[in-house]
Amino acid sequence: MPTSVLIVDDHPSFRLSARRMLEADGYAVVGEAEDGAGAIAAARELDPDLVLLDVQLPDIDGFEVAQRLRAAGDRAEIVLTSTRERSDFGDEVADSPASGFVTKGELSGEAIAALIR
Amino acid sequence: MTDLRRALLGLGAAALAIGGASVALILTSNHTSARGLAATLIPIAGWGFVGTGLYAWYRRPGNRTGPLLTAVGFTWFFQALESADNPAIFTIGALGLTVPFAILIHLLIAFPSGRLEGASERLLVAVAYFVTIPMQVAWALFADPAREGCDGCPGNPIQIHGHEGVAEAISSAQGLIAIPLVASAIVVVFRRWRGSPASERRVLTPVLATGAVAFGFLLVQLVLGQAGAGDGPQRVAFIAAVAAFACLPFALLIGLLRSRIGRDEEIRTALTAENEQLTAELRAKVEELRASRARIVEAGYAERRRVERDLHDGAQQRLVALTMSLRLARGKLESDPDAAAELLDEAMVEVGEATRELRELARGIHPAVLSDRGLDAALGGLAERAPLPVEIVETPEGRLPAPVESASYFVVAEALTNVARYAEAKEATVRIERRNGAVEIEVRDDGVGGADPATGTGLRGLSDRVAALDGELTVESPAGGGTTITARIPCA
Repeated sequence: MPTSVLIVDDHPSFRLSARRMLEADGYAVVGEAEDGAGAIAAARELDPDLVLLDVQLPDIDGFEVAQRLRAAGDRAEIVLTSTRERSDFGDEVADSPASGFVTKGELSGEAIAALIR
Repeated sequence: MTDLRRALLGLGAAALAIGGASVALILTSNHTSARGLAATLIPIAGWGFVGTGLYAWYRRPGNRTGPLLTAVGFTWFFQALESADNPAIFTIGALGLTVPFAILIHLLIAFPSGRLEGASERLLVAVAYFVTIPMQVAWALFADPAREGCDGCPGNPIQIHGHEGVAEAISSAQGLIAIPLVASAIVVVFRRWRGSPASERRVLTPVLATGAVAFGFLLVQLVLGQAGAGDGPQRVAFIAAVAAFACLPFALLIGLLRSRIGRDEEIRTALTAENEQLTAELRAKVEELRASRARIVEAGYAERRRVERDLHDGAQQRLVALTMSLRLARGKLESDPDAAAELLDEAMVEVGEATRELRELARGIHPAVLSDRGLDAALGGLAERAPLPVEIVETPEGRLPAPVESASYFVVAEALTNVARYAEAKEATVRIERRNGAVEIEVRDDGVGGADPATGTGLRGLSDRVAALDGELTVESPAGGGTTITARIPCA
């Protein structure tokens, strides 16, 4: 059974590229959300195995979304992503409940699989 | 020593000599009664007038008060000549006796400016001189001192005999004219005093009060003379008038001193007020500059945040998508060449979009066409990209200094952005002219108006940008009447 993924990003072009990329690598993209509130609602509804979560969202940032998902008892794996590098966010990635971080330019099924294993 | 000072000192010395001679004449007179009083009052008043006159003349050479006072002083000594036992000198005294009173009327009416204001004042003074000079000469031609009640007086060598009664008639006419004249002078002086502000009254009061008292006594003497009163009361009134006149120069000196003190106070008050106003203006200017500088700094931060956001949301996302498309295409190159070709086509579209967005961004930071080809070409581009017809009516020939050129461009760009967003206009015109050492930029539209620079950050940012070059931005935007944005930037 393929890993189900929820893609959270405010840029449709990225959501489309990520969907194609992950589906090509054998993931099942079950939903998309364009902001933090939408991400929390979709996660509750779709119960994905993995949330690919952009850090910079229009309402609340990805770190906050990750905290709220965990606080709500959501057990999905969370992978943070951004056009910026991990070091741009200091310790915030390490301090968050996310499994890891991948820059958007390096996103692939393999990179995600390495983070969540 | 200046010529004026030398001349004034000469006049002072002459007055001293004449005063001394006058005292000698009075004290040696055979016919003058109350010689001691006359020998005291006449030189004190004469010297007083000459002294204060010379001082006033020296301090304010342009004011006629000084010369008039000096003239009163010198003519005052004619009274002493009447004490002479020599007929010629005695007659000269009689001829000039009344002149100082006319000059005094002139002086008081013209005080403190020294100038006569209006026809009525000039008429009064002209009548005063007429009564005291030609009429006095006419009187002297017929006067017989013995008939005037002065038995010890010398004879009148210029007397025309055989016309008894003429001198009395002339003297009576002089009195009849002098009474309303002196009364009018007192009224003029009182009105002058009443109409003056408090600060001026400090100067006028001592002079005008003393003058009014002196002329009041003179008036009493004249009225008594006309009423046929005895010599005694007339004499008392005349001596009182002369005593008051003797005080006049000193009252004038007090007035002059007060005027200086008052003027110093006025200057100090005015300077303090001006200083306070300048300080307040400077403080407001500093505050305005501080606020404007803070806004410019904030605008700089905001601009950088916008550039970062534009890069992040635009070109960066495009490049990310492009990378992913290319990677996917490579993966499908052998297994599914059609899908790979489709992904490559999409990638090319992404590259095109990314390039366009980067170009827009760069233009927003600084349009290259402006640096390369000048304002005319850059404005042409702005007009072309605007979503409504924009006519560039006029642009300056040749290049402007770079900061002025850049500010002019952004004024037009921001104004046209506002027109497109809010004005609901059918068209807009742009006019940039060099005029009177400045560049004037005008953007006019035919839209709904009602633009308020206080509420829009765009217009305020422009205003700051223009102010940074010592320029000024004005917005005229009546509701329903379109909007005209005008910037004026100094440009030598």
